[in-house]
Amino acid sequence: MSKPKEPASPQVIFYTKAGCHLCEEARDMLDDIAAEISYNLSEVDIRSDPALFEEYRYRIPVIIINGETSLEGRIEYRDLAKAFAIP
Amino acid sequence: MAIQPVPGKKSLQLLTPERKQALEQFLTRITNFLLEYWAHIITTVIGSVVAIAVAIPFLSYFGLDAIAKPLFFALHFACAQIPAHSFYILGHQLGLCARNLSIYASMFATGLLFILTKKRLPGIPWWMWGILSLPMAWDGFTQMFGLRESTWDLRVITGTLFGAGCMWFVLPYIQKILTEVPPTQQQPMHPAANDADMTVQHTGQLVAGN
Repeated sequence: MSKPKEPASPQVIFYTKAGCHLCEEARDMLDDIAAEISYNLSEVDIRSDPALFEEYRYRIPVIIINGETSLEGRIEYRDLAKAFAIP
Repeated sequence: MAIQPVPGKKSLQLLTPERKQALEQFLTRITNFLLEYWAHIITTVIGSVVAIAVAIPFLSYFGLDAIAKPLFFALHFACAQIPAHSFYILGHQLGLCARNLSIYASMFATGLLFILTKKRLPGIPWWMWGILSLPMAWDGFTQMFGLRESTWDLRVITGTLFGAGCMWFVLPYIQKILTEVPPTQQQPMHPAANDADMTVQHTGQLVAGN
């Protein structure tokens, strides 16, 4: 009898940039979330791609979870926890 | 029976007449300072907030994040700091959003104007303050409820009107309250003034006598 499959870890993309204070705060929150549940994080510096830079320069930090849920700007921990379905 | 001092109660001796007089003089000096420089203090505090907000991106640019970061988060008490609503200098976000920056900057400018006119800038009535606040209320609330999205220039214009209106209304009003002498404390006029050719009425107008 096969074991029931565990739900896949959320795929998280974190758009950031060096010297962005809000990004540092959001990164700390992601670390706190990691203590609760596991997820796969891709951290992207928007300066690595001019198109990304144009799209996100006035929006970072931007967190996209499973390609659907998106949080940006000044992110509150309760909103992030809600996006990760943490009670 | 004479009243004897309680042994060991030195606190009672703290307010000797000399010390009480010195304390009163000290408090009087502080009060006089505040009465003279209250507008300077308010304007300086507001100006400092604007200066810090503008300094943050420069500090970040020069790698002084250890200073910039706490200042940035300290200003969160005064502003939501939404990135999309903020100005950027050298690629770094200012400490205040566009609207709040214009509010505080116009408050600072109006405070400065008030001081430069030796606190004689005439105030505006409350309804004028209300009119100056209306554009920002409209711009802010329609955006908050998702009816429309504001633009940076609208945020700046409406914020400037609101900030200037607040200070233009409040500062002269405070000055009026501070300089108004209660009727009971009004000095009696010199007896000779009753017979003088010119008398000064409480309205401040010079009125020709008989």
